[in-house]
Amino acid sequence: MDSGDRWYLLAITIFSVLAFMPWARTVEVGGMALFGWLMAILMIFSPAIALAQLFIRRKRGENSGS
Amino acid sequence: MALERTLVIFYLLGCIAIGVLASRKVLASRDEYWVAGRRVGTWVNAMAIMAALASGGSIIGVMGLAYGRGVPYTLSLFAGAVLGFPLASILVAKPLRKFGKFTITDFLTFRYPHVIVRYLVPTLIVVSFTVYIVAQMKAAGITAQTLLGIPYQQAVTLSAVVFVLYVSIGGMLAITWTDVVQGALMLLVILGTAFAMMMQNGTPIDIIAQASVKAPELGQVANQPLASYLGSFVIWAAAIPVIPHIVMRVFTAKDSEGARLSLNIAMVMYSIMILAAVMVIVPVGKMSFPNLQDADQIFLEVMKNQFPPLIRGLAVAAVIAAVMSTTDALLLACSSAISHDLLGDYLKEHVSEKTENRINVAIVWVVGIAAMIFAYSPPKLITEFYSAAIGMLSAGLFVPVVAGLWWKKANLFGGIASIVMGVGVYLTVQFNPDAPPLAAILYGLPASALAMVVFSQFGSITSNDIQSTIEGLHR
Repeated sequence: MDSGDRWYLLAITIFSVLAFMPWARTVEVGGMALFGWLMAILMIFSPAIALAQLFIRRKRGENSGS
Repeated sequence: MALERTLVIFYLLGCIAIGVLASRKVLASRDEYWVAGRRVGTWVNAMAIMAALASGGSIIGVMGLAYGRGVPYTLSLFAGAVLGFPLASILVAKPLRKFGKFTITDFLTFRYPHVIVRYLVPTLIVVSFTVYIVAQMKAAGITAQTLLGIPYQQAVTLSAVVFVLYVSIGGMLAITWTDVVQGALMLLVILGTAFAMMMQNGTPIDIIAQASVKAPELGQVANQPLASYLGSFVIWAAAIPVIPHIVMRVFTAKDSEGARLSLNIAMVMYSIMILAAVMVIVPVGKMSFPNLQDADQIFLEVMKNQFPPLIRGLAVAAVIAAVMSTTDALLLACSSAISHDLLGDYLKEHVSEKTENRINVAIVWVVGIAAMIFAYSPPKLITEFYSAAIGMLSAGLFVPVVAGLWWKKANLFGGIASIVMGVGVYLTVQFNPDAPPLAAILYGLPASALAMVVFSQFGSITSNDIQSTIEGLHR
């Protein structure tokens, strides 16, 4: 497995574990539990980072190939 | 309602026309029928994956769930699905695309060659996907009933006949073409509705704050046990990498790189759509309609009362599109489980490829009609209902697929034990009336992993042929 993929999986796993900690459920921000905001952030950043990583890898591959 | 009905009729006729056009290409070849000739481009495949996952559940069900159980609970379920995409992209997309067969059962029976795997896996797929299809048909039925005034059973029958028709004759190619149109329509309606609401009510942060004053439970975590939040998250994270209608999309990609890219692009589109629905449309709807008896009606009530007929017509078409784009893929995966996985060997020996494809057509009709009859007595809270069915697949298939690809010590004993234990423990907990909703996966998945590790210590090691093929998939 690519090391970038490994780091990515580790980062989202840690983020998910933190989101499910008790403090995230009790703290409320702007009318919603912090847990809800963290899930929304996960939904935005996990695809964005994964996609950026793929494009960067693709570009590197093209550059090294040319 | 004349305008709305006309729009929907045009839309349904368009789907049938696509099926007829596709049938000219696909009915002569197995490869064309099941995986659209393995030449679907990245962006088209991305839109089709998004549309396949964004079901009636993602429009009607997701909003019903957020309305009934709160925004955090719903986001935990869909964040799990979003997380499942990179898991699929990293763990299974490349090796499975290189494997180059048709279904997830093909891989599992190659990796764990035994009659139990050959018959148990497709049976699990047929059972859970029939439940999934029933939930989608309910979404179509209540939408047409509320916004078009068509009786529920007639609406279910009409939508079922249309998508069974185009799937049965057009195969994966028809599904791909219709999914692109359906995905675009869903994005347009959900994002358009959310945008119109944001113009009136401010940003999603403002809208959540306003709604929580009137309905504090919308933003709270307290209305379900923690196990339900975690369970709903894990079910979908583990399902996406192994769920057959998504895996079949991996097989349709031109190459493994294209498969990974399409999964990630699909995930971005899916996230944006779900967040717009849950963080904008539902809170605004909750402020306007705080006491709905059936939570799944929230989007329809918003459309019915706050938007003009043209937009309502597009909304009906979008919901039916959402239902069809998932149900067509589910139907194909379900019928492939029967005709390819269960009967495939027999059919290959005894009938021509053309006759085999005709039998596929008949099987699609049988599955579609059976699901339609079940859908006449629909379940409540469709997203929770079909998520429970998908949980069974996650519990039974995630570990054997991932271990089969990445763990050399995984062997036949481990594979079989992992499927049987995962499903067995999942069902035992699921049918326990005291268990919190969707928490069964928290027992089923670890049981499956434990069984894989323990039972792989027994029996013979995997043959060199299988090992070298698996190693080749990672190069």
